[in-house]
Amino acid sequence: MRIKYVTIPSGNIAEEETFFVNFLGFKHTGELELWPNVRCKLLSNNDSDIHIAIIPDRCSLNQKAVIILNTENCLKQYHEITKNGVVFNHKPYYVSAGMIAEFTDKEGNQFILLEERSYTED
Amino acid sequence: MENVLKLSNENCICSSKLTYKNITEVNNNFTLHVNFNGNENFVLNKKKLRLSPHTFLAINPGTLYSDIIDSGSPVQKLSISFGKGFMDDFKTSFLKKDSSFPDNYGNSLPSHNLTFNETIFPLLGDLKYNIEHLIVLIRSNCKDELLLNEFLYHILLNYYTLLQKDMLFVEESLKDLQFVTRNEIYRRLSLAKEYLYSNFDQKISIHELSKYSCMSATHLIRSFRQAYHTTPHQFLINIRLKHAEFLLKNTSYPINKIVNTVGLDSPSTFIKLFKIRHKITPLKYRNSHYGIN
Repeated sequence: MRIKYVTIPSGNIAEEETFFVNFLGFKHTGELELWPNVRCKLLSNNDSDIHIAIIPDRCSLNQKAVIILNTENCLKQYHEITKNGVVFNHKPYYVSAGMIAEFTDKEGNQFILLEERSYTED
Repeated sequence: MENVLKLSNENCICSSKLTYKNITEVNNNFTLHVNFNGNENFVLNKKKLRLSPHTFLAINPGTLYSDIIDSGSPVQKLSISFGKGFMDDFKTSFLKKDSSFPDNYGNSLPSHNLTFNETIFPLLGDLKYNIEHLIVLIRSNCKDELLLNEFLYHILLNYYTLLQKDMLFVEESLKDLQFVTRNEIYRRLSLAKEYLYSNFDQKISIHELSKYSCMSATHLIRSFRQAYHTTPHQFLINIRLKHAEFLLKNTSYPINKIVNTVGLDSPSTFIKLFKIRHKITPLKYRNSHYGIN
């Protein structure tokens, strides 16, 4: 597992994106569907292979940080973490970005296991 | 070399690399046969089918079939046989309404009885990813049945979703037809597709294809175009190009041999078609993938 995306919650995604692009020199690199039908904006610069993911502000869920952990094999990782006693919010499921499983810690921080899959050759 | 893993719930995973095999049997379980390298022939329900790399075939319980490999180089394949209890559990959990499920991918598909079409499909998308992960687990000698069954559940889910999507796509395209007619056309078009997958390296006439799929040539072309938004000929070209991509990435065959292997007319036709699809020549494509595979 590795951290590939730093999430930035925002109530106005377009405005936040403009800030990163115009003031910090980031470039728009794509979108990511982290939750069904919810697309996050991805930004990056040339200095790092860690990307910015601007995610919708979901205050109503009392969620604190959103940590995206990229994995090569979501099902296997899900299985290993489950064996350690972690209870996931849902079983792993599919979104357009690939496969996802998510759990929340006692503090309300949300962890997303993400296996990115490319469907372009399909 | 054959590695058979029998799980306690009667699921069975068989990974093999064989140059020769000739069995005729009836398997009482639903089985998926996936080919990764080389050609494998099947005879079932009087149909002669050939699996080429990155295609798979589903066989229903109780079907008498022959599985034949006769090749100079090892054919790498994976067979997954799903136990009856596992299938019943899958049906129950799949068809169960679960409003807490956050995704519209699986559980919200139409809830009707599971039916499986014994035909060839390309190995794509999530099914391809999950099968590749499963192979890695088997090679690492994984004995964790919970994990293996988790993968088998997802593979079954992926297969069923792929089948449903294919059916729904055709249904939507042929929505002006009556239900019974639509189903019958879908069945016959599936026959046409499996004939193209099985014989893509041969010269295929529209007469042969229409005879195999029990339709007149005109009806076949019109229905195929209506259902899949492409002609049988273009569909065949796509299969040939996909196979050529596989050979470019995984072999050092010269272009002439690839052209012959995939059934295209000439290297110039191949290069032209390839460039239209990839915007680069086959050799540049091969070089760009060199070292990746």
